Formats: sequence, C-alpha cells, structure tokens
Amino acid sequence: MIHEMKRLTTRIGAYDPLDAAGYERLGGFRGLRQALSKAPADVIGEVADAGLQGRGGAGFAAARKWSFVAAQERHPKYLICNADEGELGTVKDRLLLEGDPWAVAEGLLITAYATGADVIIVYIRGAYREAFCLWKELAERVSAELRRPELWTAAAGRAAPELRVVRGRGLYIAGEEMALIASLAARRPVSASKPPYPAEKGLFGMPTVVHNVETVANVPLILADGAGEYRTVGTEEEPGTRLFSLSGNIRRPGVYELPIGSTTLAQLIDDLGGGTLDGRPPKAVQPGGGTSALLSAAHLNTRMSSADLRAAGSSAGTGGVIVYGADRNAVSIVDELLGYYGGESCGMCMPCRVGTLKMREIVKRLLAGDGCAADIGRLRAVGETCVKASTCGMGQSFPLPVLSALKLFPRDFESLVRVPPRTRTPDQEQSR
Amino acid sequence: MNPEQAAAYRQFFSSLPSLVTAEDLFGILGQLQDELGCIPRAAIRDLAGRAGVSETRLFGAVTSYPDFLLAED
Ligand SMILES: Cc1cc2nc3c(=O)[nH]c(=O)nc-3n(C[C@H](O)[C@H](O)[C@H](O)COP(=O)(O)O)c2cc1C
Ligand code: SF4
Repeated sequence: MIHEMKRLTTRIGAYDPLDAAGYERLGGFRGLRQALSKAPADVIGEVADAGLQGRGGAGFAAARKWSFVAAQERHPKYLICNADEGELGTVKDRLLLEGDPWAVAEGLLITAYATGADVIIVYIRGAYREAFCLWKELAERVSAELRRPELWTAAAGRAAPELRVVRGRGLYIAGEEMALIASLAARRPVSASKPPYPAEKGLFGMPTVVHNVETVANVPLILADGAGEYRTVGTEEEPGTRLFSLSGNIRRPGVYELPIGSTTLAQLIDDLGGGTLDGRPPKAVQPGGGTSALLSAAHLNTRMSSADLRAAGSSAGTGGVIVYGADRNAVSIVDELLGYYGGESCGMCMPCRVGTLKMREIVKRLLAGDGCAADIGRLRAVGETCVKASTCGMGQSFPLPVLSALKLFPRDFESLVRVPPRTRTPDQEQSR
Repeated sequence: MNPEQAAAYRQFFSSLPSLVTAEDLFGILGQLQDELGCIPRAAIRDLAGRAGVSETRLFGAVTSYPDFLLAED
C-alpha cells in the first residue's frame, strides 16, 4: 500500500488562506528569507541544483528560463503565473491557489527576486471564481507584508514587485504562453512561433517569464531547505513530488501528491484511487491530461515519471490522470476529447485549424455508421500531419490520444466501418 | 443592452482616467463584463480611442472569449 507524500500540500487546511501570520507559523517565508540573503545568481544556482522542471506540461528547466530573463537589461520585466488550468482532468493548481496561496505568493516573490521581475501577474482561470476573489484580497496583503523590511526592501535593495491578479475568460488556448501574453496585452489570444522567446520579447515586448502554479509552489521548498534536501525524493533526472489529479472512472477521485517515479499507474489508481467503479482494470488511461496519449491496461505498471511514461508511449504532461472504464469504446473516448479540443484551435496555423475540424468530422462519421475503411487511414494521416506541422503545443498534442487509440485499439475503429467504399453513392463520394 | 446597462456604461466610462494605456485594456474589459454582464459595442470604440489602439484589435480580442459577451448598443 502506498501513501501520499505531502510537501506542497502539507499546509492545506491548516491555516486561514488569507492569514500571513498563520502561514509563517507553519514555516512560511523561510524560503524567501533565505533567498534574500543570497545574490540573485545564487538563488538561480540553487534552483538549478534542485533540478526543478516546469509542471505546466512542457517540463522545461525552471532555472534556465530564470537565467535568460535575469540576463536581460531592459525593465520592466514581467513574471506571469499561469493559473489558467484549462487542460482536461487537471485541477491541482486550483488546490494550491485556494489551499496554500501564500506558498504560491512566496514562490513568486523568490522568482521575481532571482529574475529581476518588477511586475507579477497571476492569470486565474475564469471558472475559478473563489480563487480569483481570494487572490484579489491576497494581493493587497502581500504588498502589506512586503513593507516589513526584512521580507523585502532592506534585503532586496530594490522596490518590491507589484502583484496584479487577472481573470481568464474561458478560453483554453489562452493558457498557452504566447497566447497568454497576447491575451494580457488585449490582443487576439493566438499563439505565435518562437523565437523570439518570451524571456527576450514577452509581454509588451519586455522580458517575461511564465510559470505554472505548481512549479512556483516548489520554489520556497528549495530555498528553505536547500537543493540537497529537495532532491531526496523523486528521480535523479526529475526530483521532487508531483500533484496528480485523478479523475474519470475511479472510486476516489482527487488530487494526490507523490514523489516522482516512486509509484506505478496501477498503485495510483488502486491504492489511492480505490480502483475503478466496477473493479475491472480500466480500458485506457491518460496519464498527463486530456492531450496525452492513451495507455492501455498493459501499461499499468509504468512508473509515474516523465521518462517512464515517455518510454510507454505517453507523457507526464500536467499530471491529470484520466481513467476510462473497461466498457468504453476507444472511438467514443476520442470523440469526447475532440469535442473539447476540436473547438479550441486559435486558427493561427493551418494544420491545427483544419485538422481539428477534419478529425472531428471523421470520428463523427465513423460513429454514425457512415465511415469507410479509408477514413481510418485519413484520421491517422491528418493527426500525424497536425503533430508534425503545427506551430504550438495545442496542434502538436491534441491528436496524440487519437493516434494512440488507433494504435492500441484498432478493432474499435474497424468495427464501426459500415460502408464498403464501392457501395457509396456519388453523393457520399462528393461530400468527402 | 438594456437602459440600465447603458446608463451603467456611461457612468463607468466617465469615471475612467483620461489616460488609458494598452496595459490596462484587458483589465478594463474584464471589469466591464463583471459589472455590466456584457461589453457594450460602444466600449470598443471608446476604449480603442482612449488607449490609441485600433478598434479591430479590440474587437478581435473581445470576440475571442466565451466569457465576454458583446452587446449591441
Ligand atoms: C494549448 C495549451 C494550453 C496550455 N495551458 C496551460 C495552463 O492552463 N496552465 C499552465 O500552467 N500551462 C499551460 N500551458 C503551458 C504553457 O504554455 C507554459 O509552457 C507553462 O505555463 C510554463 O510554465 P512551467 O515552465 O512552469 O511549466 C499550455 C500549453 C498549451 C500548448
Ligand atoms: S497549433 Fe493550433 S492553437 Fe497552436 S498556433 Fe496553431 S492553430 Fe493556434
């Protein structure tokens, strides 16, 4: 039987989320104090030693982003906390924002100190109304705390950063960092090809660092107890814990914190999640949110680390583990996923703009019993083109569940093919 | 837009500072949506004028979000 390891979630429920003193009594601000006693470059060094990687999906090394921004001379520099959390099956950021907001704020202040950021913007998913209201109030309390000399001014030797809280407006693509930057500038929220990277030319053309909420929440831990202590859990390449949001066909859905790589998918589902509703092994699981490739029951012994999940054919993504029951048909699973992601393309690049529509169309046709054998090949071809030729992570990843379903469950697709090509009417032929 | 919303919008716009920059726009649009329950078509013209950005740009931004409701005057 495995158990959770609470590092990021240990204070949740133990203090009033607006009460800075309560947070401090539970060990809060130790990381910020330690950080301010060092030079910014040494703070970046500590985070590099800890091997902290982004938890927003891409897994980029945090310290590398920080040093790019720190090296920029232009001001103001921006730090954006990405709390848009639009990925299906992912609710961990909400837990941190509402349950231990001061830890997120402390992480942001340390990041701002290390990178030289002057303005911190927390961009909160529109549906997270409670979190937004809480953070509006928190922003004022943070600036009050920062007036305590030992918490900023005396130590940092420059003005405290300004904390702004912004509410997202229900658009999935606005969580992608380039679209997020456009959104905040009141431009059409579309992604863009890189370079230039945000570190060089981000919000309003200024140096910008964008981080996921969970990434930021790790920062105070690293500074408070040092990189060595931080590395005592997790794997060599991927230290620390992760928050796994467990949902779908599962007895005890929820957010579970585990050391990275210590647990298999089966242990997470059975020991913590209590197994599937009917007790049978699941048909399929998405281990890293709604855009991660499906794994079948044969992969349940995969360890929950980026390297292991990649080797199994999927990815760790956002840590959103979605379980599909044994009675599910793979085509209906991908139909559900395409129903969400298919409407979220920003339209900037052709493969994704057209691919989302075409893939949805083909799957609908198969489900309606109007599909032909060639549709299966078409679905694969459109998906592969989209992954290879799209500009941003959206087009590069939303076809992955479909492609994996085609590989793992070909019978589900084939059994829906009803119309042999030669019996199609000229009308049907034309509508293709 | 109903008459109350129109009145509320006039009140809102007259209380805005005379200098509005592109940096403030997304926040102002959000405030409008939260307070009025919609974004009046007139606001796009007014805000674009005040911040010195094109109306097209603001229109494109506003109409991209499911949670922004554009209301005809
Ligand atoms: C379509 C799309 C949506 C995304 N949505 C989010 C999101 O809601 N929250 C988030 O933190 N990252 C999201 N990301 C990832 C961000 O682009 C970015 O990589 C991340 O915020 C960087 O933070 P990290 O380095 O701390 O992971 C999304 C990416 C894509 C392609
Ligand atoms: S991949 Fe899709 S979401 Fe990303 S830039 Fe292209 S059209 Fe937009």
